[in-house]
Amino acid sequence: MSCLGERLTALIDDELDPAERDRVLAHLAGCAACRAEADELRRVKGRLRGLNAVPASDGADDLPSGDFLNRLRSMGAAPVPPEPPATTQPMRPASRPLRSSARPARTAAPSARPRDNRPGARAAGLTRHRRRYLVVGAATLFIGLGTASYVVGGRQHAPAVTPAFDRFAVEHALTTGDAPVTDPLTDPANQIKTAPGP
Amino acid sequence: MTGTPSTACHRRGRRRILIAGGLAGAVALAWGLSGDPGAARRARSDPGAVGLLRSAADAARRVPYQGRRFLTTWKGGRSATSRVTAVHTPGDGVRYTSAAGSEGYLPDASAGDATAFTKRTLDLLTRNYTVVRKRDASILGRRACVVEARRQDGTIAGRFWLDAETGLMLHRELIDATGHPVVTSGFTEISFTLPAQGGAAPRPGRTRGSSVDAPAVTEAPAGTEPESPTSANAAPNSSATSILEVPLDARALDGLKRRGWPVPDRMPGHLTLYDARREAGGAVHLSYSDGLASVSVFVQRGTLDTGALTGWKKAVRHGRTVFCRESLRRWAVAAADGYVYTVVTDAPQSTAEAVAFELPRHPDPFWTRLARGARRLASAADPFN
Repeated sequence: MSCLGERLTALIDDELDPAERDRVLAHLAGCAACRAEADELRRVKGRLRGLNAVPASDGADDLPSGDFLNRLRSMGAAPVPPEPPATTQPMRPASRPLRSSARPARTAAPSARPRDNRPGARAAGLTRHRRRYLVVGAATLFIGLGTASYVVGGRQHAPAVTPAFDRFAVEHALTTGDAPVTDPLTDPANQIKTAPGP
Repeated sequence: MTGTPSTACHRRGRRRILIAGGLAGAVALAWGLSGDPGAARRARSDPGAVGLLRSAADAARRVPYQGRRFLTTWKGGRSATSRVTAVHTPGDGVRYTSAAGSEGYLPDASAGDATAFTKRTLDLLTRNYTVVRKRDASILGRRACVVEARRQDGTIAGRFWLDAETGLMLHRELIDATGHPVVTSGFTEISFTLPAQGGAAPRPGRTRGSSVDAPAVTEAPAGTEPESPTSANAAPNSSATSILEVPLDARALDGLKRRGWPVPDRMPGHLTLYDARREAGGAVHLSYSDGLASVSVFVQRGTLDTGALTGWKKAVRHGRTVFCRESLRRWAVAAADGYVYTVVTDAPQSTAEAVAFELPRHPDPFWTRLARGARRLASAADPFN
């Protein structure tokens, strides 16, 4: 510790009133140890100031951005397709921080996302699937019922009939100009006379 | 390069004109070749001979006669003959009596058919055959004009003897391609004296000279029910058959077709539909002819009761079963798609079979079948049913 104590630090920080400052400076002129310590303090202070000047900081960069957190959360829920490069503002200077890089594109369709800020892909997929199941089910039911109806409707419940040969024979004869009598086929008593041909 | 767009366009246009011209030429050629083959044949037919056949229909209504008629069909070297006594009174009709005592009646209104020639069948005859006049001949002791119908190859298909004095057809025979007779019919004896009036009393319940040309009743008491369909082997005297056929006009036929009834216009062997009637039992009677041979197809709704067809020959072709039997006439019975077809003809058995096999498969229209099935399913699922 130097002879001047706290007053040396106050001198470096330029916090002494003028009378005190003269007295300290007079002491420094005669005390080499205190002079060396004052130089050291000044160097350290200058170095600290230089460190402080490098980042043009406003304090906000110290925390992760909301977008970054959102993306972290969504990574656990569902795979998010890679952001198209067009949405990342290609004209942005490289030195700019990544803050709100894809924000405008993500909020372009806010209605697709649920209000609880959960990722929308899963809910939309579920709705789509449900609709697809409905359509497939309805189609299956329709085709099944149609096929069953077609199969069941195949055979008519028609009565069994025996042709009225005797009547048909007479009616045939009427249109051909022959005597409208029954065919011997249907009339055993009216036996046909079978004779060898010429 | 092939050329500018305008030349390509020209070329395309020219090609189109060429194609259109070619098509028109082809159509004209096809029309010229196939147009109406009957027209050329009609031109070769002897108008006088055709006139004789036409006047025979008129004579059958006009000329009084009594005599014996026969119908003989030939199968190989054997023949089957049916004989009846026929008495015609102009203005009334023809009464037939078979040897067994069964009687038939053909009113004058449809007597034109009795010559086997109506305007329609005569048209078919001249379309499919060449009709020529031959030298007069003598038959039953009377002079007769002879008319022949010839096939395209010149062979004789039919021969007709028409009474020179009255114009009545006395004898008719159909001949197959090998020169053998197939069907022969006509009079074995005839007298042109007026028959005794006692046998010609008008039938009760029938209008004389009615424009309805179908009703033909046998000597049955009025109001007698038609015999049951199972009467194939029924009582010998089947005179209790009451027949009433109602002609079906083109509109009625179209209606039947729309309701799914199979009514083909053509059948194998140039057979063309020339007449359709609804017969008493509910069957539709379709008459086909090529001008000479006649084929009747009776179509009934239902399934075939094969129990009544014992003794019939069974033939299966292309998945269709046809029951055949030859008697005086040739019969073929088939069933398909809820219809039973009975084919009867005087032509050879092969014709009957060919027609039976060719009858259309007429499955129900898709929506009809679907609707019927849906109704059945609904009634099966109905808990209150």
